[in-house]
Amino acid sequence: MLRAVTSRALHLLGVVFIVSFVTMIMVDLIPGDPASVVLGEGATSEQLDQLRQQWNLDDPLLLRYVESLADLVRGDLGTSVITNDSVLDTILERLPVTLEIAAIALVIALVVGVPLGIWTASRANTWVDRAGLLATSLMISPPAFLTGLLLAYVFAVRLHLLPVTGWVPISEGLSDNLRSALLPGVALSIYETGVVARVLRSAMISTLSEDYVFAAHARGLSRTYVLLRHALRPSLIPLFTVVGLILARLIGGTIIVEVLFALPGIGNLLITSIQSRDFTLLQGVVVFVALGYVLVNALVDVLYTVIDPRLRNRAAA
Amino acid sequence: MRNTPVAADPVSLTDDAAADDSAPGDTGPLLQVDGLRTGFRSSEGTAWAVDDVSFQLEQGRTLGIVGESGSGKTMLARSIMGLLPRANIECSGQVLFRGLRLDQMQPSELRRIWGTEMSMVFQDPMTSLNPVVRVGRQITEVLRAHRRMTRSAADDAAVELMRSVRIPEPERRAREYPHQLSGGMRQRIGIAIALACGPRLLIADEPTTALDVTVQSQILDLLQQQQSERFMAMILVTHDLGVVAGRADDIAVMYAGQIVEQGPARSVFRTPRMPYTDALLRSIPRVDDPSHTRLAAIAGRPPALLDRPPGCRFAPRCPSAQDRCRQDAPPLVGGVDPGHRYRCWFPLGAEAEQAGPPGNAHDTVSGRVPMPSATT
Repeated sequence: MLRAVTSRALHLLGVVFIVSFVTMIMVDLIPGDPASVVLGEGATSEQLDQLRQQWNLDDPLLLRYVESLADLVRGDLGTSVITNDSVLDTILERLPVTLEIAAIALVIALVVGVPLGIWTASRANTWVDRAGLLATSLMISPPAFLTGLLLAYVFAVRLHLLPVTGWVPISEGLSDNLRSALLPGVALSIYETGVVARVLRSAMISTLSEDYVFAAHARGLSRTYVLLRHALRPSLIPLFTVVGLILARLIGGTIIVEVLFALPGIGNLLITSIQSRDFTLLQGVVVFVALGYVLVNALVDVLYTVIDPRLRNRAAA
Repeated sequence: MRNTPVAADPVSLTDDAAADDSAPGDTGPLLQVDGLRTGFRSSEGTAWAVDDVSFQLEQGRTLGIVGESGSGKTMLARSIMGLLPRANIECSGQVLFRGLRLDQMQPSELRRIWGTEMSMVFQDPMTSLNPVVRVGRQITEVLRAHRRMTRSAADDAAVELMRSVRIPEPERRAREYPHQLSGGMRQRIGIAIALACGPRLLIADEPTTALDVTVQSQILDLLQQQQSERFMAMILVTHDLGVVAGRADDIAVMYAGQIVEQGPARSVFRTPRMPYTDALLRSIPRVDDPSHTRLAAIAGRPPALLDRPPGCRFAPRCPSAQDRCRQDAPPLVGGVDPGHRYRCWFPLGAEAEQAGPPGNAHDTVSGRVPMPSATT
């Protein structure tokens, strides 16, 4: 078990090194000088030099990388070159928005997708299954901004049920908060629901052909019992893999929906930091999202052993 | 066409573990199968995997069904239970179990019989036990579903069952997963599940094929002992005549979907009439053969489902096939021994009884058959 934890920790560190280095190179390669962007057209060359010195922009890339890494290890993501606020604080301030719509999307995807997957698998190759496949392929086909626009048009513009854009924090009332989070959450959930249903369906269909499922039927156990007790759990492993990817995707990938619905989340923060050439903030956000990705997937690996006892010895070895 | 089932002749069948032939108050056979046919529908017509099979089984007795892979024995076992998918499967004939027409019952009605009145032990306990469910639970779920037991009562009953199939430390083992048990232990669990609700009929489909040779006889002995203790009827399906030798009261040999020879075990083993049975008996390796004796094998393969020969289905592989065998299908008929029936125009050792063509001298293996199990 210790070895498993150590190897995961090393894996995590490796990802952080690589991600932070690549981000730094990418930011450095963006054409134009951050100092002149920040100071604007009328800045004198003395002012520019001073700012460059302050940000160590004239130092070699590798040296700057090592310095920023030292800060990172201390948990310091630096301060924004534009607002001078702590990058970590800015991220943490935006995080709840992203997490809330990600959570809404994931819950919808599981609550709708899992039963749909089980149902279509248990009726494989019938009209139920075919209708399900058609529905899920319609769910995974359009991009999120299209479904988002359609939803906003129908529920906000036409029916006036929900606000078109904007964000109401929880502190200003839960119901208003949920009303502002619902449309973006649903927009994000549609694709993921289709993915969950399809992955679970195909995993269940292969589990249902296992000998032990046949044996369970032959013991006179009811269809539903066999489906939920014997077939569902072994089918969850591929689903968990996908849920890990979904969660990671939702943490970092709500950009389009956040922009569309004007939500002050991580995605919008990323866009602003790019537009304003706020390189410290940009690096901070990217490293933060990458960390979230790795952590979620490590968690999924642990969950595998909860589902399948056969993996426990292997994980410990 | 309806065949008279094998008569249970108490005099010729007293050699085995079965107790008295009929329990007091129980009349008629426990299971009666008449003209059972099961086939796969395909574009080229229905392929009959089980073709006109009839037999009957009394309470407390053991029937050994023997045949090669693809002879239809597993399909037969599943057809009897009604455990086949409805789609693309065609079934006809009668299956009468305790007076119930199983072949006419709905899945929901059958489900009340499966696991309670009749249950099945599967070939490979590694794949027939759910790898992610504790073995104890796989026993208790049957008890809770059929007997409406409480969790704790079912737990106690499961431990008791595990003890009765001789699993050491049943309390601890009940909390383990199948992969933590040995193959033999897993099959004991499979048997415990099958026995949980006290079935009258146990169908064991190749119960030892997936196991180490060293534990095969232990499992067979366990099945036999449970069968006689519980006065169950048992159908022992196997490809190995050695498995049923000394354990079955009656034998049915299957070839290409048909029963080609059936009768009391002693009679079938001593005087096999059908050359196929004879060839199967010869292919059992014997301990007292000199070393490096070449094992007798049956040349060729069983016919494909949709490409069966018009006459006797064994004729293409039969060493003594005549023209008649290739043209006309022989019926299942009786000989001298009561209940012993076979499908053969020129049965072995039958010159004295039946008018066969002159010079039809078969070399029978009568008398050199191992009566006690050959696989111990």
